[in-house]
Amino acid sequence: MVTFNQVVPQPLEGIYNPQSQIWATELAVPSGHLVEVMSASGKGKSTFLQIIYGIRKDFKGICQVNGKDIRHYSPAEKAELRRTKVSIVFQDLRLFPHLTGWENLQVKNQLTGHKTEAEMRELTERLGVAFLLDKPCGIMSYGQQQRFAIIRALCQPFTLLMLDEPFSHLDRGNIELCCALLQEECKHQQAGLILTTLGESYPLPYDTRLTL
Amino acid sequence: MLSKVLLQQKSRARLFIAATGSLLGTLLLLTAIQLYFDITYLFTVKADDVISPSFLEVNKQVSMLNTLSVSSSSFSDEEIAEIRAQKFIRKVGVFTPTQFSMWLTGELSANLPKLQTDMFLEGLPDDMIDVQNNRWNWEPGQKEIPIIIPSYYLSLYNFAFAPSKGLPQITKGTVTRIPLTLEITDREGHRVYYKARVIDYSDRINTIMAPISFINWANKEYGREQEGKRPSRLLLEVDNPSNPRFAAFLEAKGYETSKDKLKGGKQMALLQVVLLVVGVVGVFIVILSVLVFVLTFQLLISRASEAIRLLIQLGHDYTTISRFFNRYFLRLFLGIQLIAFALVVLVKLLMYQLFTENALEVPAYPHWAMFLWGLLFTLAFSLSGVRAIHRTVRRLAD
Repeated sequence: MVTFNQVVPQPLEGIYNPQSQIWATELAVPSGHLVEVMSASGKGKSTFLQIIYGIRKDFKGICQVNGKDIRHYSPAEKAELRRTKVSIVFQDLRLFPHLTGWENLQVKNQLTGHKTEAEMRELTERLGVAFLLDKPCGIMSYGQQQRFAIIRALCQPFTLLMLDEPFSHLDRGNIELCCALLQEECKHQQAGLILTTLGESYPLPYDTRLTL
Repeated sequence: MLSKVLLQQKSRARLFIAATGSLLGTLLLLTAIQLYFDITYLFTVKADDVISPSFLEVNKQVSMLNTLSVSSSSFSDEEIAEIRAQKFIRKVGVFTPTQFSMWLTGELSANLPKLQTDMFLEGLPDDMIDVQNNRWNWEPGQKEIPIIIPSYYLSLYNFAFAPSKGLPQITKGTVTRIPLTLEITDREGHRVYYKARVIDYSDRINTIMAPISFINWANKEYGREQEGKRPSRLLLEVDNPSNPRFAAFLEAKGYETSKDKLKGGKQMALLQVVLLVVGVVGVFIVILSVLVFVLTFQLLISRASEAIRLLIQLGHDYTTISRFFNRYFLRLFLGIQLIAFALVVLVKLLMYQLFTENALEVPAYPHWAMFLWGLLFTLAFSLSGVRAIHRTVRRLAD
């Protein structure tokens, strides 16, 4: 459960869209809801996710995650939140370029112990990147890296999965594979999902669509 | 996996240089501490020195008033008791003077002039005398009195008096074979004759001695009470003549001793100042070298700061990461300290050889307190290093 109360990020002050369903208004994202956030670039899609994830603090108003002001989370509580409740796929992916695909997944999974090695291998096979497991992420194409970032996000328990323009470099076929996988995982974990997009619609059964 | 992520940017060369600096700094500090203990040892324990500085003769300053017999230069019982009560004085020996006049004659051989001199004798408790000789005793009825003279009397004769007069030099053994005659004038003015013989030489005591048993007996037998009744010289056995409190005590009381033996105190003080300066410089070098080491680690951390931030964003606790760096830091740092401790034992061995070659006797093994100080430094630097690393990582967690 995520609630926003009169939240305005400082860089968007005075220039945000008055019709925005997120900024300077009240917003509640109930647990288990699949939400699509759509807007042109520069409207604060990434900022929105990063506020919830506790990375950005340069905003007015109050953002609560699971009933607690995100600003009041201690470093240890934030780490716990990121290990067990909220998972994210960053727009810039943030993989370790010198680590192989497999090692990048292990960085997360060794922390959470959420998936078995067989399960992780199976996920890479489903998204067609199993042959890259031993390659450093730095030399992969962006689309291949996007799929590794998505799999890494799935290597932990979560009640909310956030994806920041995750399919920007994927073809239609791969997008469908990913969407099916995400839907399956969310259902399995009874988790919600927030996905941002520039306008393209993806085959996911959204409960809510928000515009910024 | 953490080390693969966090230590990807580490520079082995830089770490090696920082570690070497830290090693040398620690080694310097430990060596300075050990040197301090060695030199302190040299000045306090001089077990084999012939002229032991722990025995000192003390007398009152002689002034005009003494000469005019207005004030006395002898020690009262209260004064002796007060000296005895000082903590840094182990033993007090009283020089007992004879209370009668005497005359000494001796004939070395027919072609040498007859020795004849006014004479005095003093007695000291046997346990204060540095001569072991089984002829050193006297019992009433014994006809020959054993005498001990300072060894430098003989040197004075051999190297100063005899050459200037064209006289032959004589050995210690020769002197002990010269039969001497002691002529004592008793209370009634009668002359009593005793045989006497120099039996040994003392390096410690600056007087002509007869056994205390003879002095006491003769004073009773022949002595006139008014003459030299009270002792005017004392022999003190002190723990450490370099102790500044000892010098201060003597000065406050107006007592005199041979300055030469107190000079050790001044040299000690000078050396302590020099060592203190070396120690302070050493501490600074150690602080600098350890600082370089810690800074190298902070550079390592700041180079890995992106990776650290990302790990924290992926749900790693920052304490896990600071623990990782601290383990890495402690493994290296404590390893360096261990090597420094091992090397200081080696350095100590070399110093021991150097000291021994220069005829200075020091213990062959490092002083335990040096290790204790070293451990304290290691502990302090480990703690400050660990704290600095923890804070640096903590700053990346927000």
